[in-house]
Amino acid sequence: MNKTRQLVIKLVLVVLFMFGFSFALVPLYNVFCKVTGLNGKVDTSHPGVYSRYKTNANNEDSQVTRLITVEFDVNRNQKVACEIIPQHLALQVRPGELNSTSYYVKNLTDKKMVIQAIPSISPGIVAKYLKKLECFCFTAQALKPYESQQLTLRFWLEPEIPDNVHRLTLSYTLFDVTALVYSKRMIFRLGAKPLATFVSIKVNEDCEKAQATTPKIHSRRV
Amino acid sequence: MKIVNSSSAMALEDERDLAGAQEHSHGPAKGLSRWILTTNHKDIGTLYLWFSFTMFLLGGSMAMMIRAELFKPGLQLMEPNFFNQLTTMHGLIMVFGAVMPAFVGLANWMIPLMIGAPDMALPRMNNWSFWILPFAFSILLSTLFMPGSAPNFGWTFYAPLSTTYGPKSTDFFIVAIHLMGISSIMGAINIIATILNLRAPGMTLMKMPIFAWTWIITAFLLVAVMPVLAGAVTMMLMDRNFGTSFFSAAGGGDPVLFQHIFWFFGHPEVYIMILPSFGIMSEIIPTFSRKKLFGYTSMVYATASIGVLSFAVWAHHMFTTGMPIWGELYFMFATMLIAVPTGVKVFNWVATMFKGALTFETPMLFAVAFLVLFTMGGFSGLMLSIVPADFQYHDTYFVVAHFHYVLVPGAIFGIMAAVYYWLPKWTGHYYSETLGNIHFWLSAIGVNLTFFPMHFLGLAGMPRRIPDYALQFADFNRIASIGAFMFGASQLLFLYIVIKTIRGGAKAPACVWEGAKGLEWTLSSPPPYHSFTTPPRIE
Repeated sequence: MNKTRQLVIKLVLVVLFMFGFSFALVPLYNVFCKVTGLNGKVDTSHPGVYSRYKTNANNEDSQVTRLITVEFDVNRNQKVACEIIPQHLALQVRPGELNSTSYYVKNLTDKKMVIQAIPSISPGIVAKYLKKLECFCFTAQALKPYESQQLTLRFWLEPEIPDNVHRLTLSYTLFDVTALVYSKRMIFRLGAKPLATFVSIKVNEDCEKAQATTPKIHSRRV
Repeated sequence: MKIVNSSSAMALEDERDLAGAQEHSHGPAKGLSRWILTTNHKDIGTLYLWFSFTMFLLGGSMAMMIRAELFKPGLQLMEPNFFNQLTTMHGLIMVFGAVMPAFVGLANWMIPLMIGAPDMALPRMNNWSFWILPFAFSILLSTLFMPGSAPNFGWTFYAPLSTTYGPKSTDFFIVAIHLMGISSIMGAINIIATILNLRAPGMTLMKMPIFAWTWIITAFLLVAVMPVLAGAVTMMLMDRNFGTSFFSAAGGGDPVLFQHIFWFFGHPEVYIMILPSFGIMSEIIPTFSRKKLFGYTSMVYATASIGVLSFAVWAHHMFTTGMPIWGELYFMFATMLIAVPTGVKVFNWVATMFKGALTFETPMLFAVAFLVLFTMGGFSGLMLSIVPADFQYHDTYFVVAHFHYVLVPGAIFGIMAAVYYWLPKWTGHYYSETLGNIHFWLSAIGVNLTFFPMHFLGLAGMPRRIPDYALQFADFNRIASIGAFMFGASQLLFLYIVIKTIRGGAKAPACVWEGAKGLEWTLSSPPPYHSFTTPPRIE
C-alpha cells in the first residue's frame, strides 16, 4: 500500500506541475512571440531607445537608397463608438530614420471613454524591426465626452530589417476598456486603480501634454 | 505467456474465494446502495459503461437534430443559436461523456482481470471518480434550460467567443469541465497505480496484455494534459469574472494564446480517445485470427511514440492563425511523422490476420471495419497536415469528415467491438450473433453514408458549424442525414442486444472465444464478484 501511496503522490505532483505549466505557457508564449515575431506582436511595454548613429552603423548608401512602404491600418473592435482616422495611409520610410505620423480620434458618445490600441504588424516576422519612440498604444487613452484628439506615433525601422522586405502594414485595433478600467465589480480591488496594475493597462489622462513637442517628419507622403 | 494455474487449481481458488466471501459477506450489497457505495471494479466498470452509453444516446440524439436541420437547405427546425448549442453540446458530450468514460469503464472491468489483480489499486477513489461524472454532466446539461443560451461556441470554446462573447451559462460549463477533468485525472491515476503495482507475480511489463499497455500510456497522457485543460478554463473563468486579460487583446492578452493552450491539451486528447481502441484491436484481432499478435514489442513502442509525438504537433490545428513559414513546416512534418508509428500498428494488425484461421464474429467484424475506416480517417488527416491544402480545407466539412472517421469507426467501433468481445465474459451469456451482425452492418453502412459525403462537401467548400447552406450542397447533405438516421436508429438495436444478453442467452464458458489468450479467460463467465484474491503466477 505504501508503494501505491508514493506513486499517487508523484502522480498528483505531476498533475499540479502541469496545471502550473499551463499558466507558465502565458509568459513563455509572450517571450516566444517577442523573439520570433510570431503573430506580429510588438513590444508595447516601453518605448524603444533611438540612437542617431544607428543610421550610420551600416553602409549608409544602401540605406539611403532603400525605401520601405509602411501602411497604416486601423480598426475599431466591435461596438467601440469612436472615430479614428490615420493622418497618412502609407509612408515611404528609410530604415534608421525617425518618422512621425498621427491619428485623429474622436469620442462619439456623451460618456467618458477609455480606449486601448493594440498594434499588430504584418508580415509578423518584421515586427521586431519596427521600434517606437512614442505611441498612443503604450497607454490607454482617456477621452472626455465628444472629445477629439490627435494621437502621435513616432517610430523607426531598424537598419537590420531584411532586404526582401519592401512593404509592411502596421495595424491598430481599438478596444473600449472603460469597463475594465473603471469596473466596480472587481474582486481584486486593492486601490483606486487596481485593475490598471493587474491587467497592465496604463491610462494616459493627459494627452495634450504628450503632444506638446512637435515631431520632425522625415518621411515622404505617398 | 504461460499461466501456471491449471483450471482445477483455479477452481480451488475460486471455491476458497467463495468461502471467504461468505464468511465476510463480501458479495454485492442489495439495492441502490450497491451502486452508490460500491468500490468493486466490476460494478464501477458497469456504471461507467452504462453512463457512457446514456451519454452516447443523448449526444447522438443531438446529432440527429443537427442532421435533421441539415436535411435540406434553409432553416426549418430551429434557430441558428440553438443549432450552435447543439453542435457544442454534441461535441462535449461525445468526447467527455461517451468515449472517455467508456474507455475508463472497459479499463475498470478488464485491466484487473487481465493482469491478475484483485481490484483497482484505489477502490474508493474509483467510486468517487465515477460519481463526479453524473454531477458534471447534470451541470453541463442544465445550461440548456438557462435563460440566455447554453454554451454555443463549439466544443473547442475558442476565446474571445467563449470569454467576451460567451453566454452567462459559460461559467457553469467551466465548472462542469473542471469536474470532468478531476474525474478523468483520478481515473488515470488509479489505472497507472493498478498496472504498476498490482500485476500478478511474474507478469513483467513486456508480458502485459497490450490493452493494459495502451491504457497506461493513455493514462499518462491524461495526467499530463487534463491539468492543462483545467488551466485553460481557469484562465477563461478569470477573464470572464475577475478582470484578467489572458485572452483579451484589449488588456494585453492574446486570443491566439487560447488556441495554443487548448490544442496543447487537445491534440494528446485525440490520442487519449484512440489509443485504448488500438489496445482493444490488438486483443480482438489475434483472437479471431487464432494467431499471436504480430510484433508485440513494436506495438508497445509505436504506442509510446504516438504518445510522445502527440505533444509536439498541436499547432497543426491552427495553421490559418498566421505562423512563420518555419513553424508551419515544422508542424507539418511532425504531424506526418505520426503516420509512421500508426502505420506500424496497422501493418502489424494486417500481418496478424495474414494466413490466420479467420472467423468473423461480431467483434471481429467491428475490428476489421475499424482497421479499414480508421486508416481512411488517418489518410484524410495526412491530407489536412499539408499546410497549403489545410488553408483550403480548414473549417470545412472535410475536417468534420476526417475527425468523425477516426472517432466513430475508430473510437466508437473499438468500444462496440470490446463490448461484444467481453459481453459474454461479463454476463455469462453469448449475445445473439445474428442481431450482432445486423447491428454491425447497419452501423458500418450508416457511418459511411453519413461521413463519406462530407469529404466531398468539404472539398467543395461547405463550412462547418452552420445551420444553413448553399443549394449545391443539398444532395450530399441529404445522403449524410439519411445515413445518420440509420446509424442512430441502429444503436437502439445495440441497446436491445446488450439488455437481452444480460437477461439471458446461451451460456458462455470461461474461455468465451476459441482463440482467446489471457488471464481474463481463466475466470468463469461471469467472473466471481471478487476475483484473483490470490494472485495467479505467470511464467
